[in-house]
Amino acid sequence: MNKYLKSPWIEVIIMTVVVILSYIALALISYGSETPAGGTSAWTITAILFGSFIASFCLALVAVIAGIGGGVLFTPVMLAFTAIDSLVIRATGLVVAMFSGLVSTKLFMNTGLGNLKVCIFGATIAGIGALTGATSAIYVAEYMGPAGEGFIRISLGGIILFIAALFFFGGGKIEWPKVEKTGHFAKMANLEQPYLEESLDKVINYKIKNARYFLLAAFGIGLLSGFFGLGGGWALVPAQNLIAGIPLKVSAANSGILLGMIDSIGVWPYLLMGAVIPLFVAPWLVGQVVGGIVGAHILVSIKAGFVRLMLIGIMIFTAYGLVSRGLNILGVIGEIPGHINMAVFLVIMSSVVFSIWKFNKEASLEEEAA
Amino acid sequence: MTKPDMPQAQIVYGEVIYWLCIVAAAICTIGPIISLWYVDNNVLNPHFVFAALWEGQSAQDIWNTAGDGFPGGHFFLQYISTGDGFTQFGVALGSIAALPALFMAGLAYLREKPRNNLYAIMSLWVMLLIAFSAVGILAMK
Repeated sequence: MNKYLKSPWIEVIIMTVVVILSYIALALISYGSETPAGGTSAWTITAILFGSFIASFCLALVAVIAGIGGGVLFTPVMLAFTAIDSLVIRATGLVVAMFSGLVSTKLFMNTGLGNLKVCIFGATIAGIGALTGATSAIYVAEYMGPAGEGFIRISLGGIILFIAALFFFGGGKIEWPKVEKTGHFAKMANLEQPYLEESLDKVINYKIKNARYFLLAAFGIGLLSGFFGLGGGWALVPAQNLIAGIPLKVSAANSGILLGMIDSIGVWPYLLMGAVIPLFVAPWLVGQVVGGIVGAHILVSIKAGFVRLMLIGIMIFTAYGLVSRGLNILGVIGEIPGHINMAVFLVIMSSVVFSIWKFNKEASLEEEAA
Repeated sequence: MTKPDMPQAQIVYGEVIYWLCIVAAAICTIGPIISLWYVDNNVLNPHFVFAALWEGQSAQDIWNTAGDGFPGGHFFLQYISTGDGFTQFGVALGSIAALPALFMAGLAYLREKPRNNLYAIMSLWVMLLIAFSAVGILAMK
């Protein structure tokens, strides 16, 4: 049977057709619609919905491949470039991060790249952190001034930058961490599970260490994820990789699955207080689902080094966004113009593209030599 | 190279999540059409939502400006026939997708040989966290 008539392509095709038809329907409705005084025209609403869907689709591709969740890109970018209320952005960011993780779950589960036991193990504690973070964010937004938020953003930016540096200088050792012996706690929890690494055509039987420290880190990540609406993939990947010694690609896959779980807990306080605006969230959600399925299929067949380089670039840009925004909230610097933000983004992404090109060149030289 | 067999719990978890996400996305694709087609059949008037958003109004102010105030956390159940109520139902469905998936995974862990009680209990714990969060029991407010 043609591969496009089987899952997941059949769903992707159906969803794409439904999305195209829905935007044609919206355009037709807009054609005959009247705009009330002081309101946004139906044409503009349709354009915003369509633009959001396309942006979300692209975001999902990058996010799933890097294993970070869409929220970590969505939230800082929206906070930096729009005037939308920060609580609404963070709520939408959590929905984006959650769907980005949820939709990629099936493929990672089937291939074994994801490990459900590690995810449930982490979620038992990270979920409490996410819930505490989300309710604290609502509390802070209602009762405290912006200064606290500014300081927290700056420190968070510093943490992400630190992790990006660890990833950068760690190099190949982190892609395949060497764990000689399974930790006692990890052995008790029976966390390990072999999987077939398609890019190497080899069954990888990885060992896990420091499970209790991973749990501690998961709580902190859940807390920050729920508080900032960033998702937590940006830190879940290094937490698994650096602390527990889980291979990078498995960490990236697990982080998506774990994000889906913990953000399902963290998103509800936002939903229940009205911070999720349905018409604003909808196209972002749909884009994450369609882009997430496509992205998840790309991740399975690409080499780990590509993921690592992309992750470093995204982390540096996120750190920049958080620090500049934090300084702006504290009144240390003024509002950074959009073109400077864009220039920083282009410089970082150009370096990433160059590094990927260099990585591919070195890999092909190694293959030739072999 | 032969692919190692994946545990049933893992497969079931992925399937349930995936299909609920697809349904949620389909609802969120259709919802905005209903919103714009029947403008009066909404909790929030779509023509005023985006203007309020761009102005940087708080969530509560958006509900007050574009509607008659926030009708409550689970308003989508009461207003499911409205455009935005239906859309919010889609968001909520996706937000709770992990709950049935964990339930099914927990059952699969219990059916494993030997029975995997530890992960069945942990699945139940995460499921309860989602359920309590969704009904608002664990919220601070």
